[in-house]
Amino acid sequence: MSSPVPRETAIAVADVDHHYGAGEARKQALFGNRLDVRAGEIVIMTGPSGSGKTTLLTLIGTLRSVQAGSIRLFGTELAGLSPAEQVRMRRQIGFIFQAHNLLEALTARQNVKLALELSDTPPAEHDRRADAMLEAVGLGHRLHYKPRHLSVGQRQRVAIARALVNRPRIVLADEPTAALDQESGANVVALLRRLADDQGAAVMIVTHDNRILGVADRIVNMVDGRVVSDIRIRETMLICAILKQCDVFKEMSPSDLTDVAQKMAEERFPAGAAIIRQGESGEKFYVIAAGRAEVRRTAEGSAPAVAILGAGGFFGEVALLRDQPRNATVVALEPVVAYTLAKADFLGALRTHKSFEDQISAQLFHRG
Amino acid sequence: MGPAAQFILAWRMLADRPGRFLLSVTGVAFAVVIMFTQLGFLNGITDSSINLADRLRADLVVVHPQQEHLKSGVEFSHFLLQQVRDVPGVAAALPLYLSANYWANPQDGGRNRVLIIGVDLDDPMLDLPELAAHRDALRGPDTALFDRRARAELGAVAPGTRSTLAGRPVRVVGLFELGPNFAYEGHLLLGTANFLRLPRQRPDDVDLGLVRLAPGADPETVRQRIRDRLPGRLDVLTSAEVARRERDITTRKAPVGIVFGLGLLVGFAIGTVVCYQILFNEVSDHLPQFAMMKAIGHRPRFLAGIVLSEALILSGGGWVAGLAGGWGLYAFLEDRTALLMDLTAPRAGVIFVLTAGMCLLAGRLALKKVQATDPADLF
Ligand SMILES: Nc1ncnc2c1ncn2[C@@H]1O[C@H](COP(=O)(O)OP(=O)(O)O)[C@@H](O)[C@H]1O
Ligand SMILES: [Mg+2]
Repeated sequence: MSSPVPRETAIAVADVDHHYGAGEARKQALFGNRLDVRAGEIVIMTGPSGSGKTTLLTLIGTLRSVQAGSIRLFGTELAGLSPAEQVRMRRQIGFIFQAHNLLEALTARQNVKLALELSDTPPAEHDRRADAMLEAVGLGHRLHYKPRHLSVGQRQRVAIARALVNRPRIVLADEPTAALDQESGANVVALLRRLADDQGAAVMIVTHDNRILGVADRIVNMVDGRVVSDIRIRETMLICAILKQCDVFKEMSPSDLTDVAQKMAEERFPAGAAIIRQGESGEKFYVIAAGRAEVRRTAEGSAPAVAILGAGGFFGEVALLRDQPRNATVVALEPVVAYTLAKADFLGALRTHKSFEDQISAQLFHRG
Repeated sequence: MGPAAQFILAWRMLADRPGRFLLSVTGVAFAVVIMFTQLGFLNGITDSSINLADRLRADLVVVHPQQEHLKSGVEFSHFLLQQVRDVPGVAAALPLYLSANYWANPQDGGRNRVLIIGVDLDDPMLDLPELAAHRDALRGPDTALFDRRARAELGAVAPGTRSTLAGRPVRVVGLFELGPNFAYEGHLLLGTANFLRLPRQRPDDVDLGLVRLAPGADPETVRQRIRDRLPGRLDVLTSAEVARRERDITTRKAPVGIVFGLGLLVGFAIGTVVCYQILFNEVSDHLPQFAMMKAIGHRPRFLAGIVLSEALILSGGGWVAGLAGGWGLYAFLEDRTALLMDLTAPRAGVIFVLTAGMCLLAGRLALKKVQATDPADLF
């Protein structure tokens, strides 16, 4: 199981409203939106037509000016940028438009170079870089073809090569696979996944193509100008897989498991850190996703190790159930990635799931 | 990324559709040919109008104060010329006689209006080399030199041809070159003695007094002395001023100059409209592509460079094609009208500047559309 290094926030949207038109025709398209996308994440945006997806995407892409609220790209505030600064900011972003809008008069290579010319890449490198990028999208044999001699899918891949050739740290795509067949679509998505994983790019995709949902780290759903749900798919699946290995959660239905997983937050601890301390009051339940930790129980001055927990191990439930102080200390032996569930959520899950409660009671009895 | 990149891109965009590009260049060339024609006529008329004035080799020229141009026929008395001769600094002051009259075509007898020039054979103060060669022959009675470049209607004339000039028999003893203009179909050159034998010609009706200065004399000083000596009775000009006067009267006061000057403007306006139409279509077809370039971070200046480069390429292509057309047209018109139709480098340059100007103006207008595109509309 991969445990990605913590990434910085690439896109930070806070309290963003947006209005179109003026006077009588003034119409609000976005309402107080909040969204954070970390580097290396792929976020898929869905929602009914007219819900504001494109508006949000164009605001993040510096194609529209921020009217209210704040959008930061790697820390740089977009609100209040001058037109020239906006143009400069756009160079940091890879755009994949629904209509590819390649220059008809230029070959595939020349089209890709049109973007390269905006980077600091020395001109002598341009051909090589453009060719390598086209190679990567499977068009190494079409370098000197003009768009009219390429298939729809091939054109879209040239556009994607153009968007990615400068290795942007942010990629914004609108229906990138709409014009593609199953296989080309899968290739494009794999390419975006690689860009996110290898170069830590933050990728936002507006799509209705549910064939590509699997690639996403998160799915953001918008309705009527608001982000109504933000599901961390990959993380949730990761947590469910861990929970599934724990004795306590083994019997839970997948949907209940998903509910629990979505309420859990990731926490990281360096080697040697105390995750919980004996005698403190208990606020959270812990599941270890990666790394090993040691359970120590203090008795008459000495603190002998009573157990070693690895991936899939869990602890902290006793204090929550009995409303007692922690009865042991847990120390990370190596860097530990854990998912935590707050006390209220933990108890809530218990109440709705009878067998779960029984299991826990049995567990408590067993651990005594 | 320098202007070269924008120029290459503009070229590729135009060359991508060769058929359309050729059509566009033809459109621009059409406007260029119109401008060439108008400029050709304008220059042809002015060049021709000063054909005589251009040959004057006098240091100063005295004329009647009311003479507006050489063909106005306002003359002055020979007596005044004698007084000019007495002014210190004047080495010679000789009359030049002009008279409009009819020449009979030796073949069919048809009458044609010509300008007859009477010159002092010993000191003509004219840049007409043929005059010296035929000086002695011109001393014979009823002799004349005939303008080789006169209009064809005047007939086939060679040394020895006999015909009628102003109702008197005349014998052509040689040819010289001047060319017709809008007022006269041709010119004939006579010695003073022969000129004064023509009907109604008196020695006292001098059209121009040609003045040669003594060596070292200052033209301005002498000009002032002549004015002081004969206040209000003579105007004193230089040869260049006489030529300028002729040119001005044709281009500004005479309707022909205004007509063709306006024609030039109309050609420019037509060209601008044609060019705008071409560029507007070109830009409209590529609008999403321009928007895309904006979206990925190309500066407005870069896009402007592309559109203006397209305009320049069109003007260059149109100019070359129009130049070829204009050259052919000039040859044709010169043959037909015998007007001077010189396609000189500066004139071709003027047309290029006008062509580039009209295309850039059109490009500037078409650019508005590019500037108005919103890259946000691409999503
Ligand atoms: N350029 C525009 N001018 C005016 N209203 C717009 C414009 N673009 C979008 N809207 C309106 O804003 C709302 C959100 O649109 P949009 O962001 O395009 O939604 P989506 O991409 O989810 O379909 C819609 O009600 C739409 O009509
Ligand atoms: Mg949309």
